[in-house]
Amino acid sequence: MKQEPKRWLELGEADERLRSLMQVGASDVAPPAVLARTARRLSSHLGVTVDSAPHTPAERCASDARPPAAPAATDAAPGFAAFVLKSAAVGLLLAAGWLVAGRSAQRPSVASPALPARVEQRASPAPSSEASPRDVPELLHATSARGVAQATSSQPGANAREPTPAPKRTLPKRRRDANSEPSARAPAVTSPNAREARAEPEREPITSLPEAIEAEAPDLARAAAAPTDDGAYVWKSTIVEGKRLPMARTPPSPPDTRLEELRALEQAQRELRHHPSRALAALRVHATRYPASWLEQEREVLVIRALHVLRDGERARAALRAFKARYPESAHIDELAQAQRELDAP
Amino acid sequence: MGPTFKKAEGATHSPAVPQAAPSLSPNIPPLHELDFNRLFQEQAPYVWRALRRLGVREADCEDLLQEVFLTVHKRLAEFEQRSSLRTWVYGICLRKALDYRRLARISREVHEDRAAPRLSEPNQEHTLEVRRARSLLDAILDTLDDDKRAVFVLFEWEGLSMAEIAELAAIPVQTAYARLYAARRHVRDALRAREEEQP
Repeated sequence: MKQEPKRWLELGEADERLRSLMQVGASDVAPPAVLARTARRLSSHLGVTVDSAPHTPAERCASDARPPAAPAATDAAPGFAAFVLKSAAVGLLLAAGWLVAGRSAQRPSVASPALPARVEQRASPAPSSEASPRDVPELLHATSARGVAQATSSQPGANAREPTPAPKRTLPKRRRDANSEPSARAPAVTSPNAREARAEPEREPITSLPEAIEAEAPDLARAAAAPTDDGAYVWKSTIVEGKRLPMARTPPSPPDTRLEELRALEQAQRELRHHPSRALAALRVHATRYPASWLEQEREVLVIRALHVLRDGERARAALRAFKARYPESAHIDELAQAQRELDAP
Repeated sequence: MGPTFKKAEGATHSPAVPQAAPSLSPNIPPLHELDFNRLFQEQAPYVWRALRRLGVREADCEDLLQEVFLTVHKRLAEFEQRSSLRTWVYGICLRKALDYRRLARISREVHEDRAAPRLSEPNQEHTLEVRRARSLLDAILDTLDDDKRAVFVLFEWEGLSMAEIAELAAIPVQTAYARLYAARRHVRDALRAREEEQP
């Protein structure tokens, strides 16, 4: 095994000018603003959480490609231990957040004048699956906050997650008034027991989860909600797993691959004259990777040409026939006429 | 004749059916633990640097950086863990940079696309000096061909081993060494020539 040469940056006796030049190159890392912008764009494009954080070269060398092992983790599963610790931390943070939100939900409502009308609108007779995806985060927040607040409440029967009918509660007047007031964060997914206890306006029970939740995180949605006997859903806390609540958002649009498709085809085109076999292989990869490409016709034309160059007349003719049948009005028909004449020539 | 870099990022696999390769080593985390966010935080600053040194203009670097990580995200499930994740990311970065230079017909003569420093900027002299040095470095690197430049950049700045570079470039290790030594000679000579021109 040949020993690797020392890098110029590591050479002490190297030319001073050369070394400083190399150091200038090494220090030219991405500015934080660029990283932040790219992270934002990736987040919006991919639908995953991407954020930029300053990293020193030392941190980077230490981490390399593997996740940092937690001090207590075993050698066999350092990544798993880190994952568990991370999940626990996130769970604690979420629980704290919900607790604060729950307390604030129990305070007398100071809703703006416009809000009751909005709640009225929600409570009006309408199909049970009317909860729009736009409302889901708010609804989730409200139900979760209420669930945690009730779970931490010392009042008997205050837990909305109890499947048995709750006894009549005798809350202090101030709190009862507060609960009976329509709130901006009235949940759509709620227990009929809790509804009864709070004497809220009559509303249709939700008989199906919002589609956005089902689509976003079916596992969480199934775990979090279970239909009761009357078909309504009771929301359960999801913090036990330390997972984040599913947020409603539109599914990420598929990345635009048109440029990649074009480049791949250009590569095949370059190979066509001197290496038609390679061109065919590239076209095959293209067809596998982009079956419904916007350059499908161009790809087929290149296949015919490659077969022609390879002097595989039979397949070229078959491909030509198939092309004409599929794209009878294609602009490439004229272009292929010459190839056909040559193929048909004895 | 352009450089011959193989499609190590999984050209034989269809991205429509991503297949998670089984872990070859118990020390390598399984794929589901690979955190894209952490990967971005760790690698993005250096991928950006590699793109710059590989000849991507600063104005286009941000877009290329995004493209690299879009590809990383798309192909993460196909990562076969035969090399380190970092090497794999650099492979994607290298191909993107080469595609950029080859297809966009980019020919950079002078690197003056950075904004001029403001007069009130502290350490202005130092900033100007660094900027000049970077321009000089890029100008010298531009005189290298893509093959040698890739080996030089990945070895000298990005810290990849010669074996990793040879694998990325689909060339024998000896060829990688030959390219590195040739590139070093070229850079040293070019620097000396410029110093003689502007003493």
